[in-house]
Amino acid sequence: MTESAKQLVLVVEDEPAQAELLRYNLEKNGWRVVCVDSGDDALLMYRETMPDLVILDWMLPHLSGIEVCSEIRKNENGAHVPILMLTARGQEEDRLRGIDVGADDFIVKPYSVADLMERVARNLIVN
Amino acid sequence: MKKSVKSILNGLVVPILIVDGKMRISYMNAASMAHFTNAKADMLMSDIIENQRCLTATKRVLDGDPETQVEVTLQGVVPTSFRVNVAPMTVEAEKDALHAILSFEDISHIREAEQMRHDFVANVSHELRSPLTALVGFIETLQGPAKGDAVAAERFLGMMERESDRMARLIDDLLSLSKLQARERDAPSAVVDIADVINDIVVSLGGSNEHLRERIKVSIVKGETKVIGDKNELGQVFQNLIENAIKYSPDGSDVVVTACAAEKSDEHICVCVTDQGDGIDPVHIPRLTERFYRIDKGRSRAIGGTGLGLAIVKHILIHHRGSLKIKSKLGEGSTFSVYLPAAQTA
Repeated sequence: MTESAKQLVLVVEDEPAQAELLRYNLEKNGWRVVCVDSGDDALLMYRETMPDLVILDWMLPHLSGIEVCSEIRKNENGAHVPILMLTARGQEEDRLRGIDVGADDFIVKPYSVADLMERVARNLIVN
Repeated sequence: MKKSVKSILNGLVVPILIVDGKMRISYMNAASMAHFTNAKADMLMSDIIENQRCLTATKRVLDGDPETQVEVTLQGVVPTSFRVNVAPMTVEAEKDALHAILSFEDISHIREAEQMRHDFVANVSHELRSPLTALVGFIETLQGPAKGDAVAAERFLGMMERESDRMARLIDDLLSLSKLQARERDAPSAVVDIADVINDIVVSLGGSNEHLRERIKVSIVKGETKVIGDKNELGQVFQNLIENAIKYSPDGSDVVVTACAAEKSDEHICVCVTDQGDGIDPVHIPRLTERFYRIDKGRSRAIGGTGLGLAIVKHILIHHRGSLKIKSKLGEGSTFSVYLPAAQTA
């Protein structure tokens, strides 16, 4: 498969170690990856690259994951892109709010990398 | 109501309200009048308390139910949480007609403390979960997809070391804070020369790094620097402040530490740590000593901050009956001034 034919995953994570972890594993699985560390950059990068899937951390400085998620959904091209939300909180109310703004899946930290990769694959196929 | 009973009720700090069978206010004690400032005699209870649960509980007691308690938040000048006890009573002067007596115990401070504890636990778990997520993920990756990838292993191990150091620092700081709070009530009594404390910190911070040591300019008037304090704790204060000043200011710029008798008062010694950093936006200054409050999370993480340094400084100064003042202007650096009780030099 050529580089450009591979599906693109946008990772929005402000913890550099976790971003690195996701990048390595996603690339090992054959996907292309772009990483950004803030909500504002996420929206810019989303418009620029139109990724096939977004992995979005909930707790971001300034613009939160929830706000980024709902902004992407409002964008007419972003209505159907799969969004997986990562969070360090595990409370049910947060989960509901995440689903409410249109996240497709919700993953609580610390997560299993293998499980996360499976969910990425599943969401990319469905889409 | 008898005069003596009235004076007893007026002597209570708890607001007391008595309502008749039609839920009309028949008596308020002084504390009650101070709280429900718009209340007048013969008003309906619902004119001053809109809370439905409180009204229903009162109605039920007036209908013959036994004494009961409800927890409500009432919107006064400041919204206040109360535990309201509603008990039946008879009034002799009104042919033993059934009334209800309500007493309002202010439980706002209990609710606030509970909320703070809840927020704190949530914050700590978040702060620990971030490095833990990285560690768990790297272990899984090294055992699976990165098995045999020596370059990745080397890089991941370095990151794992930094993440575990971060967890260890966080735990150290949390323990430090908790120990401090436990002994906050007993102020230290030893005499400490602040000049010695600062000089020790400068030596330990600079280590063998002569360049770094030269950046810290200390100006102390000898003999005017004896304070009442705990040497180790004061060491922690100045280590934190000087380290922050170095980390948040441009490489090579000076960090100035001065100590002198506080202006307009010889009861305090003032130690100022001034940097030439970016300065702090005034909106952040009041919140800087809150636990886990960070102006720039990424920058704090990059310099190894736990988000607890200034909270520790604040609690040490509370223990010392001292204080911290922060002055800063964007683009012009910051000054952190520590005020400590001076030792009597008579």
